[in-house]
Amino acid sequence: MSSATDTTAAAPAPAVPAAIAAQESRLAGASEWRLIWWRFRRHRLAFASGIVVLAIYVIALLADPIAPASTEASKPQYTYAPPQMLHLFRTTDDGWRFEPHVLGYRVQIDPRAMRRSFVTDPDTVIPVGLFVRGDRYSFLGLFESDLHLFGPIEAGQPFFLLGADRLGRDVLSRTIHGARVSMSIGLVGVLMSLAIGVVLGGLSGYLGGLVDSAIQRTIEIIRSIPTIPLWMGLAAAVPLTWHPLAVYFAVTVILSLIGWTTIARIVRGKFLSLRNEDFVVSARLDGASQTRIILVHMLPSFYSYIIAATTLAVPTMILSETALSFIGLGLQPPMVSWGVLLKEAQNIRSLASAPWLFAPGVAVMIAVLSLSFLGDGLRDAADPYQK
Amino acid sequence: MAEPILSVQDLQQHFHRRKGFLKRETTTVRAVDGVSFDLIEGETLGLVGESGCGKSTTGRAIVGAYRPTAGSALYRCTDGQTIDLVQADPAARRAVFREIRLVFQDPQSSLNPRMRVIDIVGEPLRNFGLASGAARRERVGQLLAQVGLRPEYIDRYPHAFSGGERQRIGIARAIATKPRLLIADEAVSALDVSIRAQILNLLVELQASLGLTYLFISHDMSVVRRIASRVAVMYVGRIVEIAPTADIFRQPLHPYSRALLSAVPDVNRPKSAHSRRIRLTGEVADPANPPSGCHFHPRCPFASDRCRTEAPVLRRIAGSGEVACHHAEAIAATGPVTSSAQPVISQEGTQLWTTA
Amino acid sequence: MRAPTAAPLLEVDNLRTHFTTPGGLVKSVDGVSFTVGHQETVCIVGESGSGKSITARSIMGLVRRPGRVVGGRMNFRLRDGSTVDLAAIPPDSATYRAIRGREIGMIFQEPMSALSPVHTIGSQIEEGIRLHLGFGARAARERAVDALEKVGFPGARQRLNTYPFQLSGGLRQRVCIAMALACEPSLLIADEPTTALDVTTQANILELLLRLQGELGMAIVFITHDLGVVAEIADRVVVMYLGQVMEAGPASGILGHPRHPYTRGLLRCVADIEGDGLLRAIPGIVPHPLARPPGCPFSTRCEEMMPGLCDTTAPELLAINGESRVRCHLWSSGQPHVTEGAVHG
Repeated sequence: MSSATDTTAAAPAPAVPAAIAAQESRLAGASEWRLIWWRFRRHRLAFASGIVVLAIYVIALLADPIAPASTEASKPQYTYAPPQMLHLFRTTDDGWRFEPHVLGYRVQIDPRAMRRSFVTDPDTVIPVGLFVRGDRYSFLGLFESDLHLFGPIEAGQPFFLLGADRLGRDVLSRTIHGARVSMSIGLVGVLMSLAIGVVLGGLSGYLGGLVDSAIQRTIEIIRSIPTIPLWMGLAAAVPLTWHPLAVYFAVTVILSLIGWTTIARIVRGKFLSLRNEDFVVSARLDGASQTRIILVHMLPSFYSYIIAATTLAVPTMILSETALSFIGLGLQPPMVSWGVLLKEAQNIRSLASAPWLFAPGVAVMIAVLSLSFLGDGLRDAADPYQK
Repeated sequence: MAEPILSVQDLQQHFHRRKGFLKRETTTVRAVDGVSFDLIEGETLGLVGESGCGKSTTGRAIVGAYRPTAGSALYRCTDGQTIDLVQADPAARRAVFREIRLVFQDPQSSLNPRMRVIDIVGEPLRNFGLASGAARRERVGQLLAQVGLRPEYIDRYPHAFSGGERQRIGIARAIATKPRLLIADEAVSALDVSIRAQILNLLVELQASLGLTYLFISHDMSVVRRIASRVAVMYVGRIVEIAPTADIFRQPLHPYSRALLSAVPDVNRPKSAHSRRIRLTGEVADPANPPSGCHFHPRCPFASDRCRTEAPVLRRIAGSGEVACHHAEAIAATGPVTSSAQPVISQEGTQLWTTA
Repeated sequence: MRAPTAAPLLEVDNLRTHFTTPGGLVKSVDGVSFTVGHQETVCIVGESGSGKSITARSIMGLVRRPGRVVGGRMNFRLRDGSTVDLAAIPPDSATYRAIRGREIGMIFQEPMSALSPVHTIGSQIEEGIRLHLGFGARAARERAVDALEKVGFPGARQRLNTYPFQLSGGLRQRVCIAMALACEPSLLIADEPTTALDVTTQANILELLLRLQGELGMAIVFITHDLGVVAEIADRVVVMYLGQVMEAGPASGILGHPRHPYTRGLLRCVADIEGDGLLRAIPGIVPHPLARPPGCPFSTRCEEMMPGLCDTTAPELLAINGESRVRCHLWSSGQPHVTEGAVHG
């Protein structure tokens, strides 16, 4: 056998510069996930979006300590108070020094229109600090605290960075709290769609025949139903007496009942195209069992696609929830979601005099856009072996 | 002559293609339509033909990728017993397919890009229960050395290798189970000529050191000439000629074999001499709708009325191999293919693929 | 088929096409020079990674990012007699687009990737004709039928409305050739057009190209790794390795009396096919483009490598008796250091 290796073996590689050799062996031993990660990192917009998405989820999770106020803390005297400007420096007689603060409000009454309006009062300085005491909250039911990341140093002072709503509640705090429901409904809903989609799509692609036809026709029927009436019908079936948490789950289920179809189609298509790939045929000839072929040889080839598709499905879920809550059929107060918040901004007066009530809408846009960019980037990076 | 390790008799492999709006109509594609040959232990039989002639399907049917529609394939085990691969129960088939292995054409698509070399080459070892853990790793290292790759590359992924090196990995996987019969399905067609020579050498050496029998499938007569002791020429699901390599290259008897042979580019033939080439007009017939009689008659310069109605069977010709042609004797009289007496064929007998 | 006019059709001089990759600068084409005469067939030969396809793409202005033509000249004689330097024209400019398809046609290895799957073959051929020649719909259709008949496409008129996927590989390549030649370019660049085809189909396509060359009077730059194919069609041959020309000259000389050890190695791979025993393959593989060996690029695989010289000093491309050029230390003094004729031995 030694002669064989002599004449046919690859010749000794030429003196490769150490740096290139290192780079090469790094590449050579790089797993799929590492290749995906390298490719993804080069996609700057997606990478930045990924950080934004991550930040939104962290904020959503830590909403209680991050938001300066609780969702229901209302100060009726500050109804529709406009946003305050955060000043970092304070000018005094002896120069200026670092002292973050906001200015208080003074109420002016317009005698002709008989309308109250707020003007900032340069004399009322409300110092702002980090890790201050404020409203009490129970963090995810784990422990109780009144520590907030930031807020007025003296509890109870008006602090409305994004203004106040019709009951004098802090819009910023409510938007932060709303992220929790809106973002998690996207995630949970998509995970449920994923479970249904992978199982049904896999069965459809793997078994073929009648099962395939039945599942495909079902998907087509579901996709042909106009979504808004379907949501309305399903949401109307949710009893009003249900606990908000139960409604939350019901809404999630409703959304994922529609969302699974896309994922099922992707899974089925991948199954069909992989079934006749040489390396799958080879696995069969190598004596691999059916289960092993599916789980070890086929599935890894498309879970990167599934992750990308899943990420792209989250924004749809978020928008659906927002739409559903906005038309009043999804979540109801006191549950706080971006859709619920936007519903409260649903009148001509807010548009004209309190545009800051649309802050949750901006939050929806940021979340949806960054999730979409992230999904695009993941999709592009998903198959590192495609030229 | 030694005993055949595999005796294929009237092998048929049909596929059903559904078409139409509700997929009610089916057409039968007779990819392999009555193929018979013997593989003698230790020899290399070349199986040549154009794409679509059923040569790859034949190989894959033998190696167990499909279950043949009809016919028999008698495999002689080391203990002298014979097993019919077509009729055998799954357990017996599985045992035999450890000894009959396939080398794929495309080293790109036949290696899972998401698996390391150790897992690719070690997969059959694992599934057939031949080695596991450290023993498996050691065996894979040995196999890599055997095919001329550095054993240190055991943890690399396929994308780190060149085309020729990937084909070596594919060969290592095929010989991992210590097979007796190797089906090489266009194993060098996707490679550069320089690399092609390396891989052919490797196959020749492995045959000698491991005592392998090869069924070498290719569309290129020149490659087959280098490695095969006998050649079978296939056209639209049937073997049209089977003869010792020397004979078929000296005097091919079937008009199709002649055309295949003259199509091979030759560095020793000056540019001006190429007008003597036999032009094969038209395309390979659609196996779902083959021509009547001899499948080759629409492209054949010697075709007569008999060819259009009556399918020729393989018959032995004195001093050569077997050929399925009504006019073999007359063609033999025209002399060797390279002679200038060869008539130039330019008949527009086109049989096109019918579009499904 | 030597050119009647003295001035060449295409003169590539010191062409350099580089790719900026994360691992470093890849010099895919590094100082390549050759000329193509009118009605002449020049074959560029080499293994994968030799830069032969990038050379073809550079001429066509089809080098994709991160690759770029960074130097050299490509003087191309237009139909009206004027000469343009293709290297100086931005690849996506209107000037280049007017040359591409009209003056220079191209066919590729994989016909399916050059054809649109959603358009009929007729409409794809007509598009180029209408764009470049300004023909009306009816005239373009006639020209398309004409082009398909020229390439031996059976039933051209009836099958204008078929889609590429309905055709076999050989017929698809014929459609591509019809598309490339519909505007009767003076230069056809063929990038391994027969590598993916059966040998029988390959023989037909090569014959077709030679026939069309005679009829249309065009020059062909043919890219291949197979010297057997070269023997079939080439007037002159350029052998490339790692982005550089190793040997160039008339086909009869290259195939009959190869001077460079690499050319000899390539020839052995196809010429030895009739012998017995092991083939004398070129050992090893093309080095990684980022790890070019010092000295002669081929020194790591060369059987006649002279230690101390070949692995330290890069040989120059030297002219040897008139038309031939070779880049090898064996020929540095203009005389062979060893006897030639190792090919058929």
